[in-house]
Amino acid sequence: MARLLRRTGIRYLRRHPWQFVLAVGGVALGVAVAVSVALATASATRAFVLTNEALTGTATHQIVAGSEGLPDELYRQLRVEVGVRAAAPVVEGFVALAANPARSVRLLGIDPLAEGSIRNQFGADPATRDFPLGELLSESGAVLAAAGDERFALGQSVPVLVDGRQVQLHVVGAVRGAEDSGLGDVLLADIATAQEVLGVTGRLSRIDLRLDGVDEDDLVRRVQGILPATARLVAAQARADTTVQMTRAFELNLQAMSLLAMLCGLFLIYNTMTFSVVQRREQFGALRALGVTRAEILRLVLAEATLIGAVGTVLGVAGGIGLGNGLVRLVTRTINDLYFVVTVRELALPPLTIVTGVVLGMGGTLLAALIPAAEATRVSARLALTRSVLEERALRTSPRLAAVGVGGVAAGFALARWSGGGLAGAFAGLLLIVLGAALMAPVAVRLVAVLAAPLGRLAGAPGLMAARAMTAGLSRTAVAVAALAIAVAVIVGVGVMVTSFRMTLVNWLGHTLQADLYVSPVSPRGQAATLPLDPAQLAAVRAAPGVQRTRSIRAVSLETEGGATQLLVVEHDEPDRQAYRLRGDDPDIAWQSFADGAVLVSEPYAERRGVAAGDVVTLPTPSGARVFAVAGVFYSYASDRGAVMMTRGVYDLWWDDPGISGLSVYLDSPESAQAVAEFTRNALRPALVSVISNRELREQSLRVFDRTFLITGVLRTLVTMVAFAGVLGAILALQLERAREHGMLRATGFTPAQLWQTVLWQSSLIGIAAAILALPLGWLLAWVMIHVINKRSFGWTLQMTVPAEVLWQALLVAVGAALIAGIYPAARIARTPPAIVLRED
Amino acid sequence: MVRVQGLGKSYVEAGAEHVILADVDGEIAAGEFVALVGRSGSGKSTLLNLIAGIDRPDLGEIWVGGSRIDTLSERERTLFRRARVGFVFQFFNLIATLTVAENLQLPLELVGRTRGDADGIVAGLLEEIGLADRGAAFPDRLSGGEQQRVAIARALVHDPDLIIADEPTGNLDLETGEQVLGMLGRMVRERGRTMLMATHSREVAARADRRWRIVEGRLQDEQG
Repeated sequence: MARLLRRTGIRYLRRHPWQFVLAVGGVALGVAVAVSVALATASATRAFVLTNEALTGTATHQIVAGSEGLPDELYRQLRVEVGVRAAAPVVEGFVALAANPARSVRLLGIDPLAEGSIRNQFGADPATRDFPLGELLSESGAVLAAAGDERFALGQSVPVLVDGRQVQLHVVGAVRGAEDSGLGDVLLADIATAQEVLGVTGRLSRIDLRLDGVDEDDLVRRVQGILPATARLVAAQARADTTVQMTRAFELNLQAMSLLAMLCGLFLIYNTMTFSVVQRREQFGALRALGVTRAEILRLVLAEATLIGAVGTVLGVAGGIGLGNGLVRLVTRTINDLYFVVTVRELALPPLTIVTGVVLGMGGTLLAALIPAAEATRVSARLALTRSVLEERALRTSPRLAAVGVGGVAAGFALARWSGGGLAGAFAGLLLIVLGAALMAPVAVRLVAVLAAPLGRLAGAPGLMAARAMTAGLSRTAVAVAALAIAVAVIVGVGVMVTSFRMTLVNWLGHTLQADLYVSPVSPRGQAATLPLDPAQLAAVRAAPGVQRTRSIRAVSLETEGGATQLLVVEHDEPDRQAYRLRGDDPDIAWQSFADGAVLVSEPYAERRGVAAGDVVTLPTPSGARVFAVAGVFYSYASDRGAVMMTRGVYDLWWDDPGISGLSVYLDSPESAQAVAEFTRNALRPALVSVISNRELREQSLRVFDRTFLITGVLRTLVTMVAFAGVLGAILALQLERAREHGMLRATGFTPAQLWQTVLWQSSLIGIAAAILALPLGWLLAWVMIHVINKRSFGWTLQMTVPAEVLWQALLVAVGAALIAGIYPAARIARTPPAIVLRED
Repeated sequence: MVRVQGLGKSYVEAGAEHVILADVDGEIAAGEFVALVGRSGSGKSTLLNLIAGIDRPDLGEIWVGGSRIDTLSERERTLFRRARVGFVFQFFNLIATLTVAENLQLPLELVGRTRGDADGIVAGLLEEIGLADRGAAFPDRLSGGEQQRVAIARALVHDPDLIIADEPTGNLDLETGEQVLGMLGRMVRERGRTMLMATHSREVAARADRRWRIVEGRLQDEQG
């Protein structure tokens, strides 16, 4: 490109700094949001993978058996009977720090004598060992902690809580480089110590194996031959992948939302570039007359967009890294609440994420600039296509655009609902709906202009001019309206979705939590809890004064073909039916079938595994795999991984596990709650139990829910900020473009106050047009999010609730944002002397 | 230098065809100054655009300096304009983001002249139009007359064969218009260039060697 042509572009941007800053800001914010979400989720995944790699070492396979674990004897059989040399037993669980019970630490029990073949650094070989083997093996409660971790100084005693018991651990050595290798939050102990601490004497959590080499298939076959029925031999990598996959839907939802911020940013770029092209039509015409080719004009406009994109992308990536540091905490907390325990020490910066951010910023900017750039090349040297011709064209094409938009929305809706499209199809459908709605913006503007026609009578000349300006500058106003409408629709959509989810949860908690008190062991997050009770203690609680009845629940994890499956064991009787609402028309038949030995599956389980009433599920029991008929599907929002529920009678028939995980206590009168709670705590000593009331449990559940959606709120705010920048840019462009007209009005006697009114009236009308478009669009987004995306991501059915306040808020945000965006241009116009405006033109 | 033959151009507006030019024939010799006159909307600008290669005729041929331009592609016509046509517009149309000197350098840069060459040529021309001290100024700091002087210099700076001027004094007061017109005529004649100028002014038209008058889409040749 000619040097002077390039210079015209740079000088144009320098002469319109606000335009440049807003456009750069739009790209930067969009990129920052997308990059930060990607970095935060990648960091959590990386932390998990790192820890997992350190914990599995060189193992190629693992023998696992759910929360019940494996017998010690299996390890001996493996080495002696099968002849597997590279094998290491592991006992793994979580303990809570007594000083801070909310904080879980992983306890990894290993056999140093067997570790050499799997995790060399923890082996007994003095040449590679870096810890006091003697103390680790002989001292009670001896553990190794990450070197440099102030919580676990050498020689320190660390009281921890597990399954309602307090246990003392002693730090006898340090693991160097633990932070870097993902073992920062891991305490290492001898296997016997871990069994004692976690209360699983004689059991192993898993056995890590290295089954590589020439006779791998044969070895695998022989290992499988000695496995107990509840155990499975799985590839180590595949197991880790399955765990990471659990968070995929959650991460995908976050990423989709971050892309909405980028989409709003792109509207801003489109608007900025269109304005810059329209403003320079005469200049482009003159250049074309001088012999500048269309390709050179195209390159000129795209070069400007590239500059905006480059500056915005650099700032966006830097901002994304900063924002990512904040978001990673929210993401990690949600993953810990909903999926698995992971500790993220630092923000990971995978080059691919940064490259994606750059591609998104640069590619998006250039894409958004492409239409204005093409428009610039169409500027004829004849200069015949004036602004009014342009607006006339915009008016003429608006019905056609709206028709295409309606088609886009319909196609998007159909695509989203098409079950073959999966989650990606649903998001693509959502994008189509948003773009389709954006195409309806010109018609929405025209509608508001018609409705606002009486403004001339009500608000005089300023009102009349504001109403007329809506259609007179349709090509500008429509873009501003589209950007604002999308942001407000996101507010409505996400607001309705979150409210619907919360209301569904509140209802579900209302009928699920029927008891007055809930008793569970004080146990760390991530640990399958067991109440360490003897029957006499339980009988004492059941017979306590004021207690009407109690119901126990047992929650265990089973290793099945489809991964870990939660099994809920309930004491079934009539009133419990209230606690579980069943899908389908005839719950009585399902309950009868359940009482007769069939199982119920939760809705997420049914959705994920494609199971329905009348089907069967196969579960591993100590006496082999058993097939259970599925009586029905119950609504449950406890976990998106799903659960299988059976009666205690059926469980006792196939499993030899008298343990219980929790107790629901029904009282004669709610007034006795405090006294019964106190009695229960004393009766169950020395076990440390948590006894909480129905209300507290509901509040706790809702706190977790609100925490989970905190990140959604943050993203919603960021999307609104980008859209606000877009509206500010559009209104500035609109008003500055009419500077000459304003100058003339001032010259003919319009007061600054009247100019203020004109601009603010127009801003309000833009806000109203955006709201008219945003409310139905938001409702549609919410519908797709609730009935399609949520269902496909997590398997939950949510009752859609459209709260009036969300709609009012959206209207306020739309008009408020437009009004605020109008203040600066109004002030600027009102204080500029008319002579300067007229001369500048 | 310029020859048009059987030229026809019409536009369709609201479904109806409006004939602007019909069977126009005419010829301009090298070094000649022809004034194009006619009522507003008679088709003066359309004819200028056709001869400059900005627009294409529906019918007929256009030859400029031995090249037939009505058959050229859009890009070829742009490159033809770049090298062989100089434009003077009624509203000056200087590039607002380039200084006065840069506005003059632009056509030279487009035809591939080196910066050293261009600087010398531009300095000479600025001297000639009496704006040697305003080279670093941006156009919006100049008066209307000054801007049109810069526009004239820009039209001539790359030494084109043909100067097309569309109402060059239409936006200037009488006195300034006179000065600008005097300068344009002098510079064009001194360089031996051909000029076709659309104008409403009898006085301006009177200075031309010949007049082309467009009446109802047809061209009438009036000798000076």
